[in-house]
Amino acid sequence: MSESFLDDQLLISRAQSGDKSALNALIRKHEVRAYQYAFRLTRNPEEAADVVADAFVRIYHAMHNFKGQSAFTTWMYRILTNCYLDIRKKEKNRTFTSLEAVLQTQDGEVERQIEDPAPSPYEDAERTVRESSVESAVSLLPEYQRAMIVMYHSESMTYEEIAAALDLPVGTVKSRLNRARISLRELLVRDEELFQI
Amino acid sequence: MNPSKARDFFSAYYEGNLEVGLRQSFEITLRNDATLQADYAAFVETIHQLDALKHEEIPIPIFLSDRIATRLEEAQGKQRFGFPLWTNWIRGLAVAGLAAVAFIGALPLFNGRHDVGMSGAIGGGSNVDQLQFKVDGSKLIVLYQPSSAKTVVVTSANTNKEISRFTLDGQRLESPIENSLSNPAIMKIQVLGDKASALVAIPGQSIPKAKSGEGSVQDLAVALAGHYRIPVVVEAADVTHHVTWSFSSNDPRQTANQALSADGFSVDVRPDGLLEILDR
Repeated sequence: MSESFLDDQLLISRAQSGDKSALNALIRKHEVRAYQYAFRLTRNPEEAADVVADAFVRIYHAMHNFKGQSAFTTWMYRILTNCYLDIRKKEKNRTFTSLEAVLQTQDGEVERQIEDPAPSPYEDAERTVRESSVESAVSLLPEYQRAMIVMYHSESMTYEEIAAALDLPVGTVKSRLNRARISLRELLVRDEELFQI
Repeated sequence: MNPSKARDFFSAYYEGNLEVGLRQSFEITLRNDATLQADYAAFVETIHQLDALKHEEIPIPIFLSDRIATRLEEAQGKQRFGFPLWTNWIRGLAVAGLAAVAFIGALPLFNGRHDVGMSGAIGGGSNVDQLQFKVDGSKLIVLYQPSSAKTVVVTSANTNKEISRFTLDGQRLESPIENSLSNPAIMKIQVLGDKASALVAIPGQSIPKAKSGEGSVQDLAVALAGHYRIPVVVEAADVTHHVTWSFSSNDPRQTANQALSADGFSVDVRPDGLLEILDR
């Protein structure tokens, strides 16, 4: 069958037995979807391509470990999300290594930085939101909330699929997604207030 | 239920997933709190805005496939797997122009026995003398084993420039075709001396945005290949026939049939995913 219709499990079985054309077909089948997800997280073509490339390398290395307990796409989303978080973490570490303390919260990592006379992230956020739409507002959410919002609203994944992709209980996904939507609403309301000034 | 707790249930209430007791409690709180009502209305509006996200058009960069191939090669290098020829498929060959539609390892295979089991033939001779096509993963494979000396010429259907030429004298041609460019490609495959020819449209790396179109049957083949990401073979005397199409269906056969059925063409989608358009 063409790559568009070949069953993922069949391609994976072949790839696991060393058939590299099957791995090629699997990558070709999913690279566009992977890129669209990565771009929605990063809003940057270069960074999104890096996320996708890193993810397919991890998939290549881990292919023999894939047991088919979830759909390939769910596994792919998990790896893409991890690659995205890793890249962001590296960026943060490179910029703020000596100045930050990292607090572990329920929603992921939050940085505590020393006071900076430059415009605050909040001020930057205001400026960005003023010039943008809901897509940009999503990009201002913490990474984990952003991933959930994109998975649910852009990728049309179910709560169960998101839970499998992020290795979280379904209830946690629901409650965090609710908080993400409320946070997003606050960002958008702030945007509307700015326009009313 | 206080307003703060009620906010925790915004999503569940909106989706109709609150159990009866909680829903009643939520609604009582909502009725009695104007601020909460405003917050919930704003929340619903946000959901509607978020639902529009899935319609965002995201162009696929031309360098994506190359980036993936490079990283895979680097990863292989670390594992000392040797020269990674297998990632060549993924690279955009835009520099080479027409060569971007690559005939990979066009090897005449001697005495090979291949159970192809398909149609897609041209040339009007016996089965052995007919061009055949099959889909293998991401590749469309052209097969041909004439009983007498023949030459197969592959040209770009858009520019008529020759891409490849194979001279066969009893050998079997088995040549995969891949397109690593962003847009779908179309080429003409002809056995010299035969009247008939086949047009082959190969999907590119991205999905074109157009939801409808009009043009020749050749244009339709390109559009079908691009939209559904499937290879399309056209075997018809007149590929300039004007047609219109709309991608309202997820079924490529239905789309092609709607565009062509009134014009004497037949459409088939083979089990391997190849879509064929025939004028007989």
